Amino acid sequence: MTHTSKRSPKIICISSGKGGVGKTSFSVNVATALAQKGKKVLLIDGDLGLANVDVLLGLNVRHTIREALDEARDPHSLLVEVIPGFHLLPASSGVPEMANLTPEEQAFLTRALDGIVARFDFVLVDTAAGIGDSVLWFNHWAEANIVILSPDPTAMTDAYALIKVLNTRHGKKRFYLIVNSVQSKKEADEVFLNMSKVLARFLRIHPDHLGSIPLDSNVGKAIRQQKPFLLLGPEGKASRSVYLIAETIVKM
Amino acid sequence: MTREKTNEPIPLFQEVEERASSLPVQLIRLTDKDAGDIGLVIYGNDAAEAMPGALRQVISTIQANTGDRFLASAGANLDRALPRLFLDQGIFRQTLAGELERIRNSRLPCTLMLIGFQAITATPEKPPGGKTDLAPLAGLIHATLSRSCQVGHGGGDVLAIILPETNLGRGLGCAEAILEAFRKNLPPGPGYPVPSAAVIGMVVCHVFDNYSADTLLKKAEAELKRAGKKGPGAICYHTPRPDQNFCQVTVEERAEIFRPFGKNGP
Repeated sequence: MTHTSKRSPKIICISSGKGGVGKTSFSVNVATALAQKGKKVLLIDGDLGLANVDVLLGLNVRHTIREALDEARDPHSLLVEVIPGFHLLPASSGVPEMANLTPEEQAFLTRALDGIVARFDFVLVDTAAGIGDSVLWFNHWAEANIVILSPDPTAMTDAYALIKVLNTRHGKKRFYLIVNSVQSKKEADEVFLNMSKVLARFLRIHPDHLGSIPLDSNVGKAIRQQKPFLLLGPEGKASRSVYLIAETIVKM
Repeated sequence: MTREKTNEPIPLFQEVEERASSLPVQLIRLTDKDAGDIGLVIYGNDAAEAMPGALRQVISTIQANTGDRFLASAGANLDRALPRLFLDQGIFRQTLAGELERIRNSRLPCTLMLIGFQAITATPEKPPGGKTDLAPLAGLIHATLSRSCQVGHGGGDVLAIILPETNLGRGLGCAEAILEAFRKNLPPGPGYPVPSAAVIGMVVCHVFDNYSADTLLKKAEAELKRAGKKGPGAICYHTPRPDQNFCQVTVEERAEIFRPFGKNGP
């Protein structure tokens, strides 16, 4: 599996280590922002056994990525158009086997994904929390690795652990950090600086600061309404930050 | 020889065992924990010629009753009769290279085990320095371990085994099970290795070790040599040092991450 063609899409994995730091919310909204900029975006729900992306989008999906595996169904037929330019490949919910794929199933799935990504400009993978097998192989498959963290010690430790595993075992060297749920730019800069120092000192990794997203009450409201906060409140603090991040992603 | 569960009771094999017990042959009953008794290996110098007409008759009866579920293969070379049970050295090396390639995708460890026999009992039939017939031991190993293991010739008087998806803990368990199986099922016989003299050297290989087949074999041979020096029944192993590929976040790293969260918070 290679992505050496100039016309192949940019495949970006979005992980965090810790759950609940805002991976899925960010994935959904940055995909929306990229589509609004005229890009063709595929968002893959990488939490294969506990789907969340369709929940955040208020979608009732009937067919999921599981059918590509179990029934050899054409993955193209599983795609759901969220808004023009933004397609979702949904995962299944309440299926533990999907969270523990065998190597053969992983190989089959990546072949199936390789077959559908070509028509997109950007492919985003919203992984599960943790450092399980699916998180690692999605990150291994991607070209760019975004790690989301928040300014609390558990989120930072788990983000560091995830980066360490990806670097030590999978040779990944470049990471883009996003600091979510910050109270101020100063806090965001401090968190990023601290993580950078630790990564540089122990792993010789120099991450990129992709951006930060402030605390915003619109985010919680949007989640409860099952809509991207970009669509509910495009002028909000969080929305403006996501738009800036999307512009940086386009230039990656 | 197929691995279907026989509906006929054990007496089929028991009768052969009873009739063969007075003959200058060795027997190994092959069992599979899922399929039950799957075969019987009768081996010995000139085993085919040594079998009297009555025993041949019993074997013919078994074949008639079980159809293609019991294949009798006469001949001194078990590895020719059951090639998949015991791979020759060249094919084993290729199989090992294939397994190392597979773990790059599966990311699960595999273990290479070499079994050597320190003291070969010299008999009039088998003077010192003669070649040990290791092929019959392959059947015993297959009966002891899982179906996925590959058994082959490791060169000289050495058995080699590939244990896919096997880490150190499981590998050690397998090594002990093999030695126990040898002790129980292989009483010293003319021209065959003394089972209690077996020693085992093994290497656990992970995806991040990037070993070639040759490197893995050399490391396993070094462990076998080490086991040989320790004495009969010894098991020696090599597994990567923890600091080579260790991902655990250390106390020092954590302390640095937590530094801004001192008494005054971030």
